[in-house]
Amino acid sequence: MKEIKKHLILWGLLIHNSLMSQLEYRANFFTGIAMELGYFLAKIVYMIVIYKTGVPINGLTPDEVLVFFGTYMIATGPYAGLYMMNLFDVGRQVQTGDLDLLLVKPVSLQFMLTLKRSDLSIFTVDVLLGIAAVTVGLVRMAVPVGLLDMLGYLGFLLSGSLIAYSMFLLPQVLAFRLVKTNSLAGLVDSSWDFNNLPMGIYSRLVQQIGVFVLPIFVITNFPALFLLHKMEPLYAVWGIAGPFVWFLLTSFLFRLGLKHYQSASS
Amino acid sequence: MKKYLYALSLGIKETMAYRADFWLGIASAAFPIIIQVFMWQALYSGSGGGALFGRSYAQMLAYSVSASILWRLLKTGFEYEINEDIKNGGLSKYIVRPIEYLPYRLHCFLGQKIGVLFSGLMLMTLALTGVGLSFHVSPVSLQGVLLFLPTLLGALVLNFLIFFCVGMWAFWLSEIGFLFEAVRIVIVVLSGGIFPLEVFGTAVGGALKLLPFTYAVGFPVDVLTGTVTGPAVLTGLCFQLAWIGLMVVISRFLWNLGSRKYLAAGG
Repeated sequence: MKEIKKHLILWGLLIHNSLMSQLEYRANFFTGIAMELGYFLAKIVYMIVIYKTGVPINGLTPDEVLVFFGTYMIATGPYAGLYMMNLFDVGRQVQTGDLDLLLVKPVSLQFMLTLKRSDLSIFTVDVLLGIAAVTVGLVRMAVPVGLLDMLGYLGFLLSGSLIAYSMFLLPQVLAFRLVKTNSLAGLVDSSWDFNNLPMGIYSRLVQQIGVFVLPIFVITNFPALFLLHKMEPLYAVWGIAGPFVWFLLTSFLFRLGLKHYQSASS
Repeated sequence: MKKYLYALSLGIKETMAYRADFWLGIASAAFPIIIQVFMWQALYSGSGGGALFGRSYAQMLAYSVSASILWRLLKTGFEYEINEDIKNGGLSKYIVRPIEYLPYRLHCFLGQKIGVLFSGLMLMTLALTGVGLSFHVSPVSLQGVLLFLPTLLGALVLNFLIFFCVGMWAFWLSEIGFLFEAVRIVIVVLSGGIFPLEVFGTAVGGALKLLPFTYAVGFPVDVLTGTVTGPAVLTGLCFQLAWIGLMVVISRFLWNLGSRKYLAAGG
């Protein structure tokens, strides 16, 4: 518990430092916002198509799909704003030997390697746009949202984020062996967009694979399913247990992979 | 001319050296294609199988597949190199050499694209064949393919010129940050790289077709898939050529204006 508290305080300091550094180079801060707005445009086009056709997607009305889309945007906040850029940098640190500096620090290496830098401009834009989309969807449907719904929604968002962190860190473990994993990271990153639309659009087999084998759909579909009272009991159990299973598995593989690390520095 | 042909061959060699990177980039097109296939399947089955946005299911899939692959094939990246050249003084070497910057960059870009275009088009053919076999239709005709080739060449040059102009911003902006990426995403959407412009409605879609971006992706794909036929192809080609001409003028103007601000920093 003491270790967790220490790391949480440290994470707060790292986020603060990143913000200070971003505000020093303000162009990065504002162009980061512009980039996220651009990505939002590219994603919202899907919603434009769905609203224009006005056709329910496998039983989901366009307003319900908007709730899924908003949840996807909210979940993209922590993914793109808090750890994705660190994951993309793992290969470079292994390649250049920069990892040595982190190895000697008296904190978890996985923590430092994956949460060192953050971008609050990206995080804030995505989360705010996501909240707006979810709110619009719920208001249009006139769905009453109670405290329990909100807590459950937040809980599944957190567990989804933990699954996302674990899943997207996993390919980076290969960096200890392959060294250069940029293209692989880019390929895996593009799979994030599978959450752009509800998993209901996919076939049953794809849904089961996306929930239980490579749980990409757990990340954003489960919170929205819970909020819309469409959550299956088995999914609820997996939504709680899955993140712990994946986090422990990834941490174990990370430590295993680290044994292959050979410092490249002089 | 010989020096620019050398730049062209340099571009080809560079692409061949990093071909795995190119293929992984193309492989990332598979995910949006899969998402769109499932989305359109759900929408068309929900609408009773009729046409949506003036296209049948097979035509829409043919568009999605072709547009997703095409914009990745034509994707630039040299704007970051221009930014580096301007910021670190790398531009100085082009001032003292008997070579013009714009044609040099164009030939490097064309060389890079020649290296991947053939294999990329083969992949597009395979994907379209898959669509054709699934629906027992022919999503492209021989006439469409023949007309597509000149529009593709035009799209290649137009795409280069658009991003060359974007790269020129580096003369005035001290920090670029994520700006190029932001512009790229917006251009992909406006060019019809994700969905055909008809999804924006008649007024907005019509207005967007007056801009140069659609002639970099949407128009060639429409010609290939037979959505644009007959005299409309010629009209579109005239628009594409006109935009190329105008973008050459704008590129040269920005280059002349920007190079006066160039400080030749660095060694």
